[in-house]
Order: sequence, then C-alpha cells, then structure tokens
Amino acid sequence: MCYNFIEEIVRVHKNEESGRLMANFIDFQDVSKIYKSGEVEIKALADASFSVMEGEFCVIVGASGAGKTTILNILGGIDRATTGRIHLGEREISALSENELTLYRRTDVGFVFQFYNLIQNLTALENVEITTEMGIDPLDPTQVLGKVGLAHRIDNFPAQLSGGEQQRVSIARALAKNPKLLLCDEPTGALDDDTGRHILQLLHDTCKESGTTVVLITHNSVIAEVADRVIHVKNGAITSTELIENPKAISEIDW
Amino acid sequence: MKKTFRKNVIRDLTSSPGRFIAIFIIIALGSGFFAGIGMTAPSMKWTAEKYFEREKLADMRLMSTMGITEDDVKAIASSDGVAAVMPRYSLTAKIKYEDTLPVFSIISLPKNTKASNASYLDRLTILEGRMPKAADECIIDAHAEIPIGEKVEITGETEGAEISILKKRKFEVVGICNSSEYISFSRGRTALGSGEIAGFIYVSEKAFDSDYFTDIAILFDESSKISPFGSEYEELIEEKTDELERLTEERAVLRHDEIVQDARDELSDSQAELDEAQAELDDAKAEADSKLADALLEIEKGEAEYQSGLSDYEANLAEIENGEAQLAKGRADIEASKKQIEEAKAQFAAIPPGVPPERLPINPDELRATIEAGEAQIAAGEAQLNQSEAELTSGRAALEAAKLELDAAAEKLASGRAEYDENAAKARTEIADGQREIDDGQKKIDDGLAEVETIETPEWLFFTRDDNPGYDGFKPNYERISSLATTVPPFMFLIAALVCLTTMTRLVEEQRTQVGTLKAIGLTKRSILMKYLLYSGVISLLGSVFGVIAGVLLFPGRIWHAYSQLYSMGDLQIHLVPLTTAIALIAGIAATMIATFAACYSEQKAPAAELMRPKAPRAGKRVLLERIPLLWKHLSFHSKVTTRNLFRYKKRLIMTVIGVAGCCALLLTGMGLKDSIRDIADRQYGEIVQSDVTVMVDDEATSEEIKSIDKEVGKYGDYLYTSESAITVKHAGKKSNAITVYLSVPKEPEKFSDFVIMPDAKHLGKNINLTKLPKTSDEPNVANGVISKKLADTVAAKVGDVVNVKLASGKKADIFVSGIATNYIYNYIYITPEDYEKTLGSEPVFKIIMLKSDDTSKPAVDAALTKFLETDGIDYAYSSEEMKELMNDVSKNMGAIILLIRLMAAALAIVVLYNLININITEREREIATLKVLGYKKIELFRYIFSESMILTVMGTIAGLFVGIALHSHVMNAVEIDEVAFPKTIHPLSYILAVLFTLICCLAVNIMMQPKLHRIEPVSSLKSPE
Repeated sequence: MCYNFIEEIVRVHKNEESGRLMANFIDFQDVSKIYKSGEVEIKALADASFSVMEGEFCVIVGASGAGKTTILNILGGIDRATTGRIHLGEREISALSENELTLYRRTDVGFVFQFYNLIQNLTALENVEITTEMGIDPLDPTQVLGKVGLAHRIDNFPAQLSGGEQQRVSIARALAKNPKLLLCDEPTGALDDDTGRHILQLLHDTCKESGTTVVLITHNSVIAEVADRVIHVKNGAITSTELIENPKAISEIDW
Repeated sequence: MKKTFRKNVIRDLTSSPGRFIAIFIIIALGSGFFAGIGMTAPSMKWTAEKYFEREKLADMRLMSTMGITEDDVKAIASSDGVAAVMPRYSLTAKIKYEDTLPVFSIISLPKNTKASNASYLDRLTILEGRMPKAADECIIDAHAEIPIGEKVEITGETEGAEISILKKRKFEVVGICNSSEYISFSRGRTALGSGEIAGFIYVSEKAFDSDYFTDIAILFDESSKISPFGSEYEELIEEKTDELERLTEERAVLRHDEIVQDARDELSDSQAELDEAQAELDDAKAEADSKLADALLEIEKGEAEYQSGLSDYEANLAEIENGEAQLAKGRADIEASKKQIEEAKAQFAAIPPGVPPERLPINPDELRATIEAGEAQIAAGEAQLNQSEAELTSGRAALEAAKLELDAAAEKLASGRAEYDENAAKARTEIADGQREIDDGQKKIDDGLAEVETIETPEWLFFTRDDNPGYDGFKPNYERISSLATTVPPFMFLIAALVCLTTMTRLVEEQRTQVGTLKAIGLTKRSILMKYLLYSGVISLLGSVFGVIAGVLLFPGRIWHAYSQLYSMGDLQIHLVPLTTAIALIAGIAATMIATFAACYSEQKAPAAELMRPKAPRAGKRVLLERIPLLWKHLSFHSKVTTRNLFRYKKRLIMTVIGVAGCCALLLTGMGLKDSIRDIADRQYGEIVQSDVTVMVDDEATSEEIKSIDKEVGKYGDYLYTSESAITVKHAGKKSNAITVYLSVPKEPEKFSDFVIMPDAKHLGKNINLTKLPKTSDEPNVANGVISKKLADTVAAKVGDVVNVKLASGKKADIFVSGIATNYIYNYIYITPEDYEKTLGSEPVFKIIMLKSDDTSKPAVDAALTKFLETDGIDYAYSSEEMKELMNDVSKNMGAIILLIRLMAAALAIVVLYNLININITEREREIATLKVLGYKKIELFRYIFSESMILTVMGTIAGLFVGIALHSHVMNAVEIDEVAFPKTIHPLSYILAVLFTLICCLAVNIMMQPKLHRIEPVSSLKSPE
C-alpha cells in the first residue's frame, strides 16, 4: 500500500520532471506477459516499462514476435498482463474487471486493425455506426467518414471498397467514438506504399488535430521517423525509448 | 496413408469435439430412430411368425354345416400340401360360473397333446395346472380369471353345435392356459348373450359324444417356409382354399347322399315298425270285437231267459189269482149254500113238531136229508176249498220266490250290460288311439320322406387366419407401426442428413486455407479429399453404428412392451432387417460423405494459391426491407444488422429454417398424435354420443321386468331403446374389404338425434336426421341408412351407393347410403325399424337403452348405474364417462411410440439447434472477436448472435407448424385402424407447446453456447483472416 503510494508520487514527479505540460498519459510499469501452453512457458513481454504523453503519436517498432502486439493488446484491454501495472490517465487498466475492460474498450479506445476487420454485411456508414451506437460521446458517423475522405462511399459494402478505403472506414469507426487512445495494429501492413502513406497521414493528422493519443505498432522502422516517441521492442523487452524532437513529415519519409 | 497426415485427421476429429459430438449425435439419432422404429414392425412380425410356427397355428379351419366325418378328415389330411390336420369338437355356449353367464368357446383337445405330436395344432401354453385328463376336466383361458379347482357349468344355450354333443355339462378347472389360436385378448363374437365371447375352455375329446367333428384345423406344408404376413402366404391360402373347396364340394355331395340314405333307412325302419304296429292293432281290434260279441250274446241270452221266466211268473201269477178268485167264488158259493141250509134248517125248525110230514108241504125227512146232504156237501166243498186255498197259498209263495229270483237275474243282467257297454267303449277308444298314433307316425314318416327330398348339400365354411380375431388385429397393429416407421423416421433422418450436410460443407469451407496449403505442398487432390472423407466417414460411421445398435436395442422392445398388454406371444425377438439396417447405416454415412465430397470438390477446383488466400468475404447485400426506407429507418441498428445477416447467408438460413422446421414439425406431430388419440374418446362421447348411460337388457328379461326397467330408467331422464347387432359390410358394387360394424336401429327414430348426433361428414356443420334423410332409394328391398365416415372410406362407399350387410345370423340385406356421418369409435350403420323389418324380415330386438340423464353430474350418474345394475332383467349398464376413460386407457399403448417420437424430436431439435448455432458462432468468430475489441458487452454480443438464431428459429417454427400439420395428418392416415377414426386435429395447447419447446430449445442452446462465445479471444481479431 505504502509502496503504491510512493510509486504514485514518483510517477507524478516524473511527469513534472519531463518538463512538458502534457501529463504522463500511458504508463507501463514492469509489465510482463507469460503465455502458458501446456508445459511450455513463453515470455512474450518481460518487465516492460514505458510511458506515453497525452496527444503523442507513438510508434512501437519491433520484429515479428518481439512483443509489440502483446503491448498493444494489453494496452487496448483485450489481453491482461501477467504482472505489472498499466495506467491510462488516472485509471489503472491492469486492475479493471472484465466488464470494466469492456467498458474501457467501448469508450476510451479506438482500434485500427491490420486487416480492417469490418463487418462485411454492413455498409461503410453502418460499420461506423456500430461504435457510435454504443459510444458515450459519439461523433456523427457521416462527418467522420467525410473526414477520412469517404463521403462518397458511405453506402458501399466493404467488399466494394479497396484496401485503403476499408482501412479508412476502420479508422473512421475507431474515431467516431472520439476515443482517448487510438491503437493501430500495423495499419499499413496490408496496404501498398502509397495507400499506406495516406493512411498514416490520416492517423497523424487525427493525432495532431484532435489531440488523440495514437499508439501504432509496426515492424517498419521507417514509420517511426514520423513519431513523437518511438519505442523499440526486441525479444519481449523494451530496448529503448526515444523522443523525437522534430519528427519528419510523412511525405518526407522513404517508405 | 502417411503418419503426419493421419495425425492431421485425428487432430481434426479431436480438435472440435462440439462439432464431432453434434454430428455423431445427429447421425445416431437419425439412424437410431430409423433403424429402431423400422425394425419394430419386422421384429413384431418375426416374433409372431416364430410364435405361430412354434405353436403350430393352423392355416385354415373348416367347418361343415353337417359336421365332419372321419372320412372327411382322412380326405382332407391326404389332400395335397397338407402337413397336419386336427379335427375337433367345439361349440360356443353360455356357461354358468358363480352368478354370471359369460359366453365361452368349448373346444376339444386332441388325445395326444405332447409337443412331438405333429397334428397337435393351435397349441396351448399351460400357465398353471395341467391338461385335462378326465372327461369332466377342463383347462381354461387365463383371461377368464377362473381359478383352478372351480367348476363351470355349460348351459343349454349354445351356438355352433347342440349342447347334446357334450357328454358332460360340468367341468372342473384343472389348468390355466394361453392358446395360440387367440393371440390377443379378443375372443371373438357371438350371437349369444352380450355378443362378446369371454373366453375359451379346452376339454378332452372324451367330453364330447358326437358322430362327427364340428371343425378341422389344417396346417400346410409350405406355411412354415413362408411369412404368414406376406402376399405369398395369401396366394398359398387362396390356392389351398380353391383346392379344398373342390375337395369339400365332393365331400359335401357324399355327405349329403349319406345323410339322405341314413334318413331314408331310418324312415323305412320306422315304416316297418309302424306297419307292424298297425297289424298288431288290427289283431287286437278283431279280438276285442269277438270277445265283446260273445259277451253280448250271453247277456242277450240271459235276458231272454229272464223274459221267459218273467212271463212264466206272470202266467203263474194269473193262474193263482184266478184260483184265488175261484176260491173266493167257491167260498161265496159255500156261504150261499150255507145260507140255504140255514134257511132250510129254519124251515125245518119251523115245522111244527108232529105235523106229519104228509101234511107238510115238504117232507121233513126229505128236508132233513137234504139239509144233511147239503151240509155234507158244504163240508166237502169247504174241505176242498181249504185244500185249494192251501194249494194257492203255497203256489203264491213259490211264485214270490220265483219273482225274487227273476229280479236278481234282472239286476245281474243290467250290470252285465253296463259292463259290456263300458268294455266296448274302452276297447273302441284304445283302438282309435292306437290308430291315431299310427296315423301320426305315418304322417311323420311321410313328412320325413318329403323332408329327405329337401335335404340340402352340406355347406363347408372356410376360415383362414384372417378370421382369427387376434391375428386379424395383430396385422393392422404392426402395419400401423410399419407405416409409422415409413413416415416419421425417414423425415427425421432427412433432417439429420441435411444438418450433417450443412456441417460438413461448413467444415470444408472453414479449412479452405488448409486445403490450399496441403495442395501447395504437393498433396494430391485425392489424398486431400481422403482426409475429409475419412473425417466425415469416421464420425458418421461411429454415429450410425452407435445409433443403429442403440435404436434396435431400445425402441422395438419398448414399443413391444406397450403391446404386450394386448398380445400374449412372449418376449420380442429382434429381427434385423438387412435393408433397414443397411439404409440406417449407409444413408447417414452417405449423406455426410457426399456432402463432404461435394464441398471438397468445389473447393479443390480453385488453384492452391487462390485457396491459400482468404476467400473474399461474401459481400454484404441490401435486403428488400431497405427499399422501404420508412420502415428501415425506424429499425434499430441491431435489427438492421440481424436482418441483413439473415439474408446474407441464404444457405444457412434455409438449412436452419428447414432443420428447425423439421424438429418443430416432429414435435407437433408427436403432440398431435397424442391429441388425436386422446381426442377420440372426448369427441365420441362429447360430440357424437349424447346419452349418459347405456343399459343392456338381459336377453331373457320378462315383460314384467322390462316394464319395471322402463319405469326405473325413466326416473333418471329421457331414454330410447335401440337395437345393435354386429354385422359385416361390403360395398355392393366395388371390390372392398369386409369390415365389422354395428347395425344400430333406434326404436323411435324421431328421437334418435337427441341421443346420437350424426354430423354430416360431407356438409360440415349440418347434422343428419334419420327421419329426414336427404336422399333415399326407391328400391323396395333396400333399406335407407346412414353410415359412419370411416366405414364409408373403408368400403369406398359414397352417398347413393349400396352396401351389403350380413348379420351374425347369416341374414343379408342391402343398405342404400343415404348419408355419411362423422363418428370416431367403431363403425355404425343407422337404419329405422321399418327399414330393418322391410329388409331383414324380422323385427329388431331392442335390448339397449340409451339414457340421457337429467342430472349429468358424476355422483348422480353413478347412483343411477348402481341402481340399474341391481335391477332385475338388466344385464349391464355403463356410463359414457366410463367408456371415455376406458378408451383413453386403450389408446395408451400407442403412447409409448408417441412418447418416443416426441423425445426424439426434442433431442433432434436440441442437437440441430446446437449444431446450427455452433456453426453460426464458429463461422463468425472473427466478427465476434472484432466486436469484442470494439467494446461490445456480453449481453450485446449474446443478443447479436441470439436474435439471429432466434429469428431463424421462429421462422423455422412457423414453417414447422405447417409441415407438422401435414405430417400429422399423413401419419394419422397411416396408423389408422378400421374400428377407429382419429380426428385429425391438434390442440391449440400442442401448437403452443411445440412452439414453446422449440423456442426454449433455441434459448437453452444459445445460453449453452454462451461460454463458447466468451471463449473467443478478442485478440484473435488481430490475426489475419483465414
């Protein structure tokens, strides 16, 4: 108890120390994740600690199986850490119950998937409406779709859209609920360069314009160049966290 | 097969136990039910066949109107193809036991009742005691419930044969048995008593004394080689009937001649006797005549003698009287003489004395001499007179004596005459009597001779096993199950196959990438196909084998058990019908494997590379409903998704709807079967029969008793006398089955509709009135009748047709179908007493009283019943309520099979729904995972999946109700029997229950699937789509 209190003080103190006005938004503290498969134990994440400030565009980079998806899952509340604590703002996600986690995902987190994960028999608009139906402070789905540049395709079914368009719908779906945190799992992974770039731009713009914190995972280190903060993951451990003072514009990076 | 490949198959099997178990159970249910129900009827048949063979049930039984002689027996026994014959004596009689008079069949047993005796047919199974040995012992029907040691007495009221063929009238029960001749509890009908034979008694041959047998049981060589229920057997019986008909016709002629000859001989013997008697009588008459003549002669002689005696006497009497008169005259003369003498004396005295005689006018001397002479003369005269007088007196005395003698003789003669008269009269009457007797005898002989001329050739009656009441009922019973087996289980099987098909198709589609990979790494199409065929083959084989074994072990025995209350044929012997077994085993496997093959085949057509890529998700489509924006806009998001989902996977929609519809239809059919069967009694005694009590008047009730019965019954309400007789009916024109029905004749037809309602089967809502028949025949010898709907259907009679009816007594009549009335239990023909008399020539016997009680409450009706049963002259009385309950009990034997159907339907419904929902979830795992990531709550997810399956279930349920109505009606038609017309209605409650059960199943399965829903990791949404 006492220890917790001290830690809390330390955490707040750290924020002040960083000198930024923004509060320490995401806070990973000694988070480990161990998958048990029969006799075999696989340590997907070992004592990972990092923090992300509110409104940051954070990119987690690492090779396949490095543990970056585990971080995203735990952060998104769709998986639980074996040990360690995760805070989002004032809330300790690692202490939430199953139902609270559901509510957390429902209201606070927006997900963008590598494979879009759109509901096939819903139109673009309806796919976005899914979230607004349950969101606490939803945005207007048509407007959001307009913002992602799909105003003309709102009545199309996913199968009628290109990959990039589908990903835009996916982003619109995530944004429509006006999330505090936008989690993107290789959002450009299934897209060609050009489209990927557009999507990245869209995510970046969203981050900067609406102040939504974006955490994006990718194995493509080039993307890291546009981030405010880059976290490198390797073999389940965080090897380094770097803050980039002047991130490159997306148009500048070489894909 | 490679090791790794095998592992892959085994892992596929074990990795999704839900699907594995679902397919296994569905196939097991389908094939188990199919095999189990399918095997029931053949097993029943098999059991019966074995039973008949073991107990040597006769193929045919012949009776002759004039009995069967030893020669007949020999002729039949030596006829072609006859394996064994058993001649015997039998009759149907009322027996007296305690205070009851039930009708029994009394049948003789062969001398040798050992199992080794090949001509011991229709064997008995001794349950208790032993076979009768002495002439006054018997073994009795177990059904009669008369214990060993009791005595039964045969009364003189018999049918079939005269009581005189029985040597003994009283039998002691020494054993209790079942008879193979009576496989069911029905013992047959009779014209005696209540019309129902209550049981049988077997006695030894010694108990009978008759020159001829009453019937002969025949067993054919071939019958043990072929099934008695098949057409081959029918042909055999037809053929043998023809052969034996020819034979018996010959025998009949011989028998006729024999009988005629016997009669003639007997008559001529009588004639000779009579002639002799006549001669004797004539002799006697002659003798009597002569004797009488002699007697008369003597009497006459005596009379003549008497007459002459009398005349002698009279002559003598006259003589004596004459003599007496003369005597009197003589006395008078003497007196006169005396007087003269006195005068003379006086004169003499008057002569003065001394006067000389000369001077005197008379000489005194002279005078004196004269006086003296006179006096002497007088004295002489007097003496003579006295003598005469004495003589006369003695003569008179003699005459008096003769007179007495004569009187005595006269008296004797009179009595002799009387005696003669009497004797003569007596002799005359005696002779006249004798003559009359002889004349009578002669007349009899003459009549007899005339009668001999009219002696008809004896008629042989043929009875086959079909005429056996038990046998007769067994066939429809097993056929009913057989028809049930051809309706419900295949339907169920179809559903099961369909669901398996969906599942397997789904499985292959799911494994699309794996197929692609396997193909890419170089496996041949064939081995990939093998993999899935093996998978589906193993599951379906396991399911089929398990199902068939379980089905065959469970169902037939269970159903037989229900029927064992009806039949006494021992335990069921399971008979595996190869075809049914094969279908049950193969069909399930085939359906599954063909589905697998088809799915694999279409998948495999694509190149490996395309297969490895995720299949382009099926595009969402707009549904028709969206074209109506007004409606669509108002739908919640949820409803929109659900609606679109429903129509997105049309195949799944159709499969689910069909699957659920099938289960719901089966459930409804099961419930409906129960309703229909249970309804029968309610409808019969609610809508048709309006009377509350039926009273059966004793055959022997006296008219006083009937009067008091009328009075007694009249106290409780309105009543109507009717006559009811068992008849057989055939269509007059068409070839149709003969079925047994009741001919009902109400005494007052105008009152009949108050007691029995005859709803017009052709015009719903209308009732037929017996006194105002809609259509009548003009034919003079045809009765107008209303017939039951079921009867009309069975004999294919329409309004306006004519049916032939035959009474138990053999009387026949034609009945014009004036109307067809709805009726549920038994079949009736209703006619008026006038028509009965017109066509059958006699007045109907009204022995049944229908009573409509004023107070219909149970205690009131029960009180009336108790009172009636105590009343003299009432044989029996029962309430409609009792009958209703009894019928309900009877229908319970169908209950077992119906319960099975319902259980199976319920089980199938659960498994089908489980499987379909399982597929639904598995198929959309990714969608569900995504929704989870997006923050769907458990309840929202549940609704998302559930509302879809619920809507499908509702659609299926609605479709199922329609299918169920059709299936129910179809099944009812299949299982119907002649005696009973099942109402083809299903209760609203059954609809509700079928719907509710299906919906609850759906809800339960959905809830059951919840954990599976929850087990889906949201993380899995991040994986690349397979």
